[in-house]
Amino acid sequence: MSTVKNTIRPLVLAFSHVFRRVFTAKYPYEAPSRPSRCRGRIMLRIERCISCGTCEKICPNIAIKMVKLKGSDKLCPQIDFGRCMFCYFCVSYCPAEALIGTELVEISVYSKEKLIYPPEKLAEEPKWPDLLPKPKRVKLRVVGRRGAGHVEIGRE
Amino acid sequence: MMQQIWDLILGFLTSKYFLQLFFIPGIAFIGLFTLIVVWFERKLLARVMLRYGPLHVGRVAGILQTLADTLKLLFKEFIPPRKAYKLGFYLAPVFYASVPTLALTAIPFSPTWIVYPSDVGLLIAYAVIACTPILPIIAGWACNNRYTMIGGLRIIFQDVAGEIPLLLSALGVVMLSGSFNLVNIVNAQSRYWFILLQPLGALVFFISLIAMVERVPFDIPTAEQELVFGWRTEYGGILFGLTMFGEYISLAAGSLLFSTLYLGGYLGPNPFPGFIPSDFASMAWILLKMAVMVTVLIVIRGAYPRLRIDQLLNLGWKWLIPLAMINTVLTMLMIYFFPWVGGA
Ligand code: SF4
Ligand code: SF4
Repeated sequence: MSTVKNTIRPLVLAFSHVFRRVFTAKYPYEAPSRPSRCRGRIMLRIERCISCGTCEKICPNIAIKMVKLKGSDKLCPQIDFGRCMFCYFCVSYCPAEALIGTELVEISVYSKEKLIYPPEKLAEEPKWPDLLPKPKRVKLRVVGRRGAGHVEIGRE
Repeated sequence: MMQQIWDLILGFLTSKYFLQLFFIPGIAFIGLFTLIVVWFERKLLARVMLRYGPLHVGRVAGILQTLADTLKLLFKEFIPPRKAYKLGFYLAPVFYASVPTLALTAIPFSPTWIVYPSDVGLLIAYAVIACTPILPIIAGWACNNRYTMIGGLRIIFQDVAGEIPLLLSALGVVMLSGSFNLVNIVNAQSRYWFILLQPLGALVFFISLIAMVERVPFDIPTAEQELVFGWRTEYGGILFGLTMFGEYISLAAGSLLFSTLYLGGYLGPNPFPGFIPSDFASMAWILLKMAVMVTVLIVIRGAYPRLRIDQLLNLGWKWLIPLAMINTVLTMLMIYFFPWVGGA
């Protein structure tokens, strides 16, 4: 008897799924909100940096190099995101909290050189790449009886 | 003179042979069916898994995705393995795609619309279905590759497990209608569809049908996770396309056969008798029934995991064949005690 039940249940479940909400987001057009501890591109707050060089020494992938800021003698980190593995050691060891993590992970480019971020570029606010269309910000929500799906933020 | 040639051409274009060859169940039907069903399968499976499925090609729900894939397959090179038996390697997929179409010739799309009317139509369909698995075996052997060979050997097992119950379960239908002629079988269902009189037979037929057309719970010969792609491993380009084409034509033939035997075939009310020709309504009904069957088969694909080969043999020999025999005996008793149920 349980065999019959176990045979019929998946079929009923599969049929019922046809009428459920689609779970996936249409990614480049809809950007799902990320969890707060998501490790994205690292941002530098130049005015806080005390040029101690801890980040350079701690980086396991030798992705950080201390370089001079344009027009001054101050040394600041330059990060090569082609080497970085987003371990966030630099962020957690920075004594001045000058390096902070952001949520942006869309940093792919067509050439490796563009992944080397000098301090000035590191200091910029993270921004959605121009190559992609402006996305709708969406969030995972359980809506009614049709199950979970992505809804636009602000229209929940 | 001009007029005569024109009449000749027009007569040929509107003749039944031409229409059958090029429309139903000919080239247009087969081609459109494959294009639409592949798209529909991907879309429906995606919904079963709570995904979107094809989305971009063709703007509306990725409707042109299959066409794009077919074009891609057409332009790809196929590379035969160095030690392959070339004749078998090239010809097996071609025949694998064309042989199942022969099964469509036996299926009545309306009382008169049948390519090869015959008193043994059911046996013709069975003969074609029995021929098909030979080709993957040849292909698997000709490719000179272990995976393809194992895939081919598994087809033999699957055949033995699936074909006998397929034949035995349809025996009930033949006994009830008293004929092997598919038109008679359909007409015998004018009062009740045979699925109501033969639920057990229909179930056994359905399960063995899935095994015969190698759909997912029984896609053991092409098991992707074990055998790369089973007997199709070495094929690329349009040869691979042909193997997939053959699979979907088998699917069409199988669902049409099931609709004919158990779901009343082309029978169905004509909503506007004066307005729509009755042939047309019949075709619409059988195609509708086929669409329902295909949908069920696709959802089944999304619902169940693949069986192991020994589980399939167990199912075939220990369950399906005895059940089919029980069904035959039950049908005999039914005809003996209630002779009015049959259409004969
Ligand atoms: S996240 Fe890790 S790998 Fe990347 S720059 Fe910081 S320390 Fe180096
Ligand atoms: S560890 Fe922080 S303060 Fe020290 S150099 Fe790096 S970014 Fe500047």
